[in-house]
Amino acid sequence: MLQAIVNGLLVGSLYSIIGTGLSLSFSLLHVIDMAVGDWIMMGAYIGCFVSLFKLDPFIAIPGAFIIFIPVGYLIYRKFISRVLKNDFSGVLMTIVLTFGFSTVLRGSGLIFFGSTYRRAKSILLGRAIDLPIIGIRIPMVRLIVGLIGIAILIGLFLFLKKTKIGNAIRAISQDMFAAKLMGIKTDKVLGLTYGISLTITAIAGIALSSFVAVYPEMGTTYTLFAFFIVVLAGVGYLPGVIMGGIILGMIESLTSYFFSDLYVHITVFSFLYLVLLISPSGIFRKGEI
Amino acid sequence: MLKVPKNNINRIVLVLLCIFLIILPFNKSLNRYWIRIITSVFMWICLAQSWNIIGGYCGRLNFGASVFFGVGAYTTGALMKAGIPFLLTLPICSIFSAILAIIIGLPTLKLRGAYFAIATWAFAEVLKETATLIPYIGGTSGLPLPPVLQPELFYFLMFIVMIVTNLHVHFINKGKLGYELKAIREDEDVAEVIGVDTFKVKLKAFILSAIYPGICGGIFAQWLTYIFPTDVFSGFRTDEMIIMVLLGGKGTVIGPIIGAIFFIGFKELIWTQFASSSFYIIFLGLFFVFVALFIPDGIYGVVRGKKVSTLRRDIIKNTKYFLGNIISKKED
Repeated sequence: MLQAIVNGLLVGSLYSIIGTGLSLSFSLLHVIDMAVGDWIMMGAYIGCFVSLFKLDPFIAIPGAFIIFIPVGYLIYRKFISRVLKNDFSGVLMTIVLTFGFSTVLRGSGLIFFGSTYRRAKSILLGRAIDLPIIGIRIPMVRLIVGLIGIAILIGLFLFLKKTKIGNAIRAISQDMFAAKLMGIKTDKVLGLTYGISLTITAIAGIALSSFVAVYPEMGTTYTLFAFFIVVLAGVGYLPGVIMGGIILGMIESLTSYFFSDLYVHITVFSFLYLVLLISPSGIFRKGEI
Repeated sequence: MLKVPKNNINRIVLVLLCIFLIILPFNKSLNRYWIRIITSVFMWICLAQSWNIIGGYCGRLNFGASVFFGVGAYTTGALMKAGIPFLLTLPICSIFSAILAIIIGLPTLKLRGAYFAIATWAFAEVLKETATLIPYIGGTSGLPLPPVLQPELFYFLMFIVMIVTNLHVHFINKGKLGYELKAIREDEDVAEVIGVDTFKVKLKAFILSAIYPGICGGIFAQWLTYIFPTDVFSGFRTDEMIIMVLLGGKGTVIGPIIGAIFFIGFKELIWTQFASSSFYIIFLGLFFVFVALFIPDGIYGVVRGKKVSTLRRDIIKNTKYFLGNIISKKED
């Protein structure tokens, strides 16, 4: 069972990234991205694609930056900001918009990739670290994935604190109007933020492709997970998101261990239901919800 | 809002249309294919209109609406398996849907619009999976129902349900509930301040938006005589419901009707072009994007002119009327 807990922890750090991506896009951009899971799916397929050339999928991670930051930027500038400004029911329409993206991505996934289950082959597959004393074995793949999760979170944190653009993003999150007065080109910075949010989501997808079955409908699971984390953690509260991710990872692996894979969704969801009944604005900190 | 003579003409046209539709299936030379199409149009109008209650009037996008449809379908299926006659199962469907609406509504209606959307969506996904795990109702392989020999029965059943739904929404639109819903949609906090019990009203709307799909689901189950979870709980059914309302014009009585007819027409055209279902999925998604970007008020909004939304004008007029009542009462 300790094995299950450790597995859960490692996967949990990955889920934290997903939660962070969603959290970023919602707290700053007021866009609840219903397509989170489907971006993960895209990332996962990129991982599979790379592994077709006998390369390790993790190599695709820098590539994700190059692809998804411009893509996210364009999507934000062209679509999302237009919908937000256009109508008085702006926020509602962004839900519809992102839902549309989600559906398009899913359909494209079905057409271009087919519904067969795939998995990306990493050279790390099959190697594991055995800890004889405690009696658990940590597959290298999961370890790397967990480390990637932590690395991204640290990287994001440093980016937000230390760089000029990071400061701009934080300024916008505190007071958008004041940020504009300060001369920050909010539209462009928000576009970049959305790009970053998509990128880290896609990286999570790439990492997942190394040990999870990849198929076009997988997005639905991860959208559910992302939502779970954000509700648990309260929006925009980073430590909460991290903890939420870890808890989610644990729930998943413990449920698989004690019962069966099939019941994971239902368990996660029942948990979510209880949380929503009791305290919809989050457990770790009251975000705005 | 319309002057009296026009109202009367509208009513006469509607009644004539209804009479025409009632007589239609008795024309034996009409291909049964059309009867089936029109039956499904009736069903979609009913589904879209019921989504309109919570989605259009209340502004809460319920992305898990197919849940109620599926529950209705399986209720009928399970009850008929236990031997209960078909028509008797339909009221029970509506009761179960209402109960489900309360269960789902309690935690989710507190959430802000965006979160409500994902929460209801999550509910639908999980219930879909749960349905596959219950062996009594067939699991993944589905549930067969006893066959019925007259297709016209469903035509009339769907027709009745559709008329009832539309009338109900029409009266909601004109009455106090409609005003409260629109108030909540526009600004929930202000609505609370005016004295609208937002939670109760939202729950009422949610329950109403659940019972009609429930009944439709029950009729659908008997109509198809075979149901399985990935079909009746399908997210695509929800998507299509939502598209019809958004396309036609959310928050209006005629919007969902326009949207349903338009969309079914479009679907039949496209269907004959691309037989592949995956293209259809992309097409649905693009529809959403298109509506969100260009016609958030739907076709009805475009027709009435984009400058001032009729919804806003509607509300301002109603506000003056109702506020007048409230203020004068306070003066006592």
